[in-house]
Amino acid sequence: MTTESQLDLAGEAIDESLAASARAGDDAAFEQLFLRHRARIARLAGRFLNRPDKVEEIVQEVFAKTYFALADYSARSNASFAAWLSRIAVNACYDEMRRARRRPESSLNDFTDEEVAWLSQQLRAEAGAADIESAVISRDLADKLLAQLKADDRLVLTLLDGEGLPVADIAALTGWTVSKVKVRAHRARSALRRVLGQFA
Amino acid sequence: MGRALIRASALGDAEAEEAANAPFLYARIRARIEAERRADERASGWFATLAVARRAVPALALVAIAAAGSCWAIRPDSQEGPPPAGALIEARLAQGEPIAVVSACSIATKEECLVSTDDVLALLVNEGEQETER
Repeated sequence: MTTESQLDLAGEAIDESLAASARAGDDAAFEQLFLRHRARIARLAGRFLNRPDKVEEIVQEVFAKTYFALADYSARSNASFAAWLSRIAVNACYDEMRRARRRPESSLNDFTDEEVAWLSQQLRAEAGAADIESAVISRDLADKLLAQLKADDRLVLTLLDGEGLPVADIAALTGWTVSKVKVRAHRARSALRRVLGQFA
Repeated sequence: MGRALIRASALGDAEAEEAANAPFLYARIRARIEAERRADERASGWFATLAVARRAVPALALVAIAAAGSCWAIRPDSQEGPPPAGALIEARLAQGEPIAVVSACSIATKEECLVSTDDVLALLVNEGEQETER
C-alpha cells in the first residue's frame, strides 16, 4: 500500500470517528470536521461559482446541511465521509445554479462589444489568455457564456472538464446513472457549441 | 474552447481557500444551525397546533352550517311537515284508536308519540268535557 493511500485511509478513519462523535452531540467534533474539509469544499464550490461571497454562502449551507444529515450518514452504506460531503456540496452548487437561472443577471444582449470581439478572436485563434488582466476578463465572460447553459449541462461540464472527474465519479456525486451522465455530457457540449456559435 | 471556458470561469484555488478561511465563518454556520433548530422546534410545538386549527376551523364552520341548514329544513312548523301532535292524538281518540304510551315511543321522531304537556292537558280537559256532555 502506498503512503498516499495509507494517509487517505487514516484520514477516513479520523473522519468516521469525528462524524460518530458529532452525531452523538459533540460540537467540538463537528468543528473539527469543518476545519478538515472547509478548504476542499470551498475549492469544489469555486468550480461552479466564481464569486468569493457565493462560495462562502455555499460552504455555510453545506456544513449546516451536513449537521442535520449526520443522523443519516453511515460508514457502512456510504463510500467515505469526504465523498458524502462532496455530494452534499455538489447538490448545493447545483441548486444555486438553478436559482441563478431563474433570476438571470445577464443575457446575450449584455455582452459588451469588447467581450464579443475578444471571444470572436479567441474562437478564431483558439489561443488562451496569458496575462492576469485578460484572465479576469475571461473569467467574467466565461461565466456569462456558461450562464446561458442549463444547470444540468453546466454541472456535468464543470465536473468533467473543470475537475477532470471520470464518469463513474460524477455519477456517484450527482446520484445519476453512468448512462445519464454520458447523455448529459453530450447534450451539454452541443449546447455550449450552439452558444459559442453565435459569436464565431 | 469549452474546456478553457470551464476552467476560466472557476474561482482560483487560492481565492476559494481565502473564502473558506473567512473570519467568523464557523460562527455563522453555528448560528444558521441554531436558527434551523429553533424553526424545527416551533414547527413541532404549539405553532403546529395553531396551523392545524387554522385549517380545521373553516371546515368545522362548514359542518355547522350544513347541520343548521338540515335542522331548518326539517323544522316542525314547516307547511309540508307532519301535523301537530295534539291534532293527531285527537283524531285517533275520535276514531277510538289506541295511542302508544310515551315509553313505547321513539323520541327521535316527530310523530304523534311526541306530545307536550299542554297537549296532554288539553286532551284531558277535552275528555272531561265530552264525558260531562254524555
